[in-house]
Amino acid sequence: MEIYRAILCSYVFSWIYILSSLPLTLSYRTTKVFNFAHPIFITYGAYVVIIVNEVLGREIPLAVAVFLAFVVGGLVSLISHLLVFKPLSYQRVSSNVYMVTSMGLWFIYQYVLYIVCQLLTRRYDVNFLSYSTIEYKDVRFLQDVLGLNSMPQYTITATLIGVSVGVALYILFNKTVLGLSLRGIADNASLVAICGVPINRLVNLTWFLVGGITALSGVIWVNFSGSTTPDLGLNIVVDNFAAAFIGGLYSLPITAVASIVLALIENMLLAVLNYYFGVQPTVRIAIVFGIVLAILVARPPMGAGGGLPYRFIKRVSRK
Amino acid sequence: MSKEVRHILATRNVSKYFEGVKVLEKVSITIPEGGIIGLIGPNGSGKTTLFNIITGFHVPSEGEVLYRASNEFIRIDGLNPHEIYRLRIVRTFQLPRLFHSLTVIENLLVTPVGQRGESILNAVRWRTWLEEEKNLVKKALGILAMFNKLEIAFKYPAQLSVADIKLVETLRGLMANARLYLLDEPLAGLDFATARRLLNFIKEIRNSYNVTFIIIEHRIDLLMETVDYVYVLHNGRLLASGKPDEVIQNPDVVKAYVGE
Amino acid sequence: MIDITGFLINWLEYFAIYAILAVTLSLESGISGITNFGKVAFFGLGAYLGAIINTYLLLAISGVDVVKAPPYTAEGVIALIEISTLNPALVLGVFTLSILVSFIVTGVFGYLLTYPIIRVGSGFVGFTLLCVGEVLRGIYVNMEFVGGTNGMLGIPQPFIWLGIPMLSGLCYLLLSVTILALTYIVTDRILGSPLGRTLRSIRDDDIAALCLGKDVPKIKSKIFFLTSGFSGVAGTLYACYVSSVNPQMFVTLVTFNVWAMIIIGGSESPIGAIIGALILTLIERILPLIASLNEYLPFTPDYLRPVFIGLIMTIVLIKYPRGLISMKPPKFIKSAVEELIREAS
Repeated sequence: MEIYRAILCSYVFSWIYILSSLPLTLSYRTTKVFNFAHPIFITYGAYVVIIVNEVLGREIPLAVAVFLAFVVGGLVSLISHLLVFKPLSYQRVSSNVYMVTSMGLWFIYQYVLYIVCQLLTRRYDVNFLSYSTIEYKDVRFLQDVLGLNSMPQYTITATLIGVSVGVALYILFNKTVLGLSLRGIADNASLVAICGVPINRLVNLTWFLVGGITALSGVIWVNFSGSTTPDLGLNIVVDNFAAAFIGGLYSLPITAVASIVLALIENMLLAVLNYYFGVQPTVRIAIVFGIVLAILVARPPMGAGGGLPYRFIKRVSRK
Repeated sequence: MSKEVRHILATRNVSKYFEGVKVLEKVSITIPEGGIIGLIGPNGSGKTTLFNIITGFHVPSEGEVLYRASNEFIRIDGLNPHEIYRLRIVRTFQLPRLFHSLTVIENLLVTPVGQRGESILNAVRWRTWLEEEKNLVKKALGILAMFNKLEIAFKYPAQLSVADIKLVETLRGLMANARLYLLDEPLAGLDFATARRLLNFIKEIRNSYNVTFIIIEHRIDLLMETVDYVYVLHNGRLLASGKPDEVIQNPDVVKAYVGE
Repeated sequence: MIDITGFLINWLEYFAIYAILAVTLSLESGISGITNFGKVAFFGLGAYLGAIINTYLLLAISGVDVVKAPPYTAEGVIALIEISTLNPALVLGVFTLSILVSFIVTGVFGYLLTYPIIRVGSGFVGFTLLCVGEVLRGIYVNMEFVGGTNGMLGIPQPFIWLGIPMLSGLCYLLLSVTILALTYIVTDRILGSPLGRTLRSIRDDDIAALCLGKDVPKIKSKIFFLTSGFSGVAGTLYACYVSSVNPQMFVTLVTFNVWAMIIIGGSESPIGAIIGALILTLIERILPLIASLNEYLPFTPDYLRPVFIGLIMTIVLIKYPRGLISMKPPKFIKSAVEELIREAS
């Protein structure tokens, strides 16, 4: 039974990590901004669904949740870009300044959310600071029709969102002119600008897409987890960034595979450790960190993120 | 030459591939000690890649780089850049990489290796390094004075003209007490008089300290007056080598530069 | 009536501890280019080391059975209070030892950590160190002998035997300020020396510095040893001042606070870091005083502080990306050079 649960967890976490890591890689490639505020989009995606669910009287359908999360996540991302990252880029600052600023943004967003939750908790008499699971009515209906009632609902939700986002992105990037220009900007912005593509608008669009898609993993999360808190992003940040790092902040396919592998390793290992040694789930982060360290030593991600041509193993021989 | 020529550096069949693309193919050059050697070739012929391999920036895919340290040859391919610098091989960059938050004089002062004040324990006790520092400052100012550039000593790189940046990049290399200097396009962007003065200064250093220079340069007219020997690279291969006037009349070289 | 002296001692104590963190952060991040987003990891490690040594060792030396009365239980805390008021020499000795041990252990921890991260770009460094903070917190939660989630209480303040709270607070403040002064002097000396010049060159362009013969990884590791060590000492000072440690005290928000300090003050100068620490700790200390605000606000004022600090930080960064106070070249080089120019002309 334990192993069955672990497999289900790995499956859902795979989708959550893919949906949050792919946009991170995409945003780094396009804007060269190392956005530490990235996980906040997940949190905002989850919380907009929670809040609307309470207002609607706990009757939210998945379609509405996806739409809301996408728009809100996208807007948060776009606003960060327009108000903070764009003015910074005019100053020609180093990448460190971008990182510190994004960290500042992270805390602003997170604690604004805390305040909002506290206000709502008083207003609606529901604990928003640690919210339970949301059940989507239309997914329940779909399960009844297809006879999938034995499956937990979150697996259906994750599959629906993940597959449709994957198909949509594939069509966008491979079949449309817009997608081609977006890919072009990610590779060489000035070259695309010469071709007469309105770069500013497309960069804005990239930010919107990045925020929107990342927020969708929040929609899965509220369906899956029993407790959603405003520091949800902080709990996912490590896996999220780790997957993007393994992809070298460049390759989308490697990032996707890395997300799946990370989800598998940590859930299986966690299940085993918990079963035999009674280890708490809080060691999850230590497992991922171990993987990150191993990668840093064995195959340091150079290139996109910068790096030194320094070799620890020397070969010297006298002649 | 009556005296037997001692070599300071040699590459043996050095090849380099970048993701399958061959950038250098079996390049073998030997550099005599105390020479001024020109390395020329059209753009993309692999000159800078060869510099990068000699200075430890890249590891060659094949072949070896030999260097005479004291009296015997050692292999230096695969060493880290700073270790190669400590063997007293110094390079400059084609696109100047001055440190933007250091003034010109500090940019020159940062170069000498093994300064006493660079260890934490000495750094906190300034008496241990002040004397050495003063000597370095004197030396740096002397070099700047030779080019009538004393007034830029306290300017930051962002405040300099392009030619001055280029000059400082080369002078920074010359601050280090090296045995082998690798200069990557030192004359680019310099006016004629300054370029001449720089070449004369290089000759002067060579004559007084018996050090060696390898110079990549596109301004062949100026270069040919200075160098003793020239290597020509084309498409990653060694096309020709010889005395400047021989090379310049070599039909292959003319073809490579002018095209068909 | 507000107790002004008490407030001042309390504020300056927090200032001294945070200023040590800020000065070392400006040395490692502003000057040497190691993007340390895991400052809290070293601070927390120092605090836990201080807590463990100042309780377990103290109890063990005094002959209390630490297995029966571990310091995170009520019996242990009572025994600790008794010992710390009766045996000044022992308390002070153990405290000094804990400062030394936490400097060395935290420093070595930082030194070892530089091995995997030294070759990769600053984003990876920042992220990895951020993870270290979170991982350590996860470990504290799971470790029974440091009290798990509840942490430890009753860590003796080393001057508590003086009897008068004001006096012992003042003595402790003097000690903390001395350590801050030591940190500042070391940082300032390094900045003005050839090492400082090398560090700034590495931050500007590490590849060019490597090609100019600077062993970039080694220099960075040594600096990281030093700064991590001082951060650990700050942690020990903190643990003994507030007399308790628990995992919730060492969240990433602490790192963020220290970054805000050096950004407001100008990340390249230790003086700027100290000014930043002075301002932000004052804001932080005044907030509890106006806790009566709680009745008028519909939410906890604690949540306002990060938002407020984050806003200041973001605005300062957009307007003045190099900070409010910028670095000047060391004075004596300038005077020496001017002298030589006069001679030359």
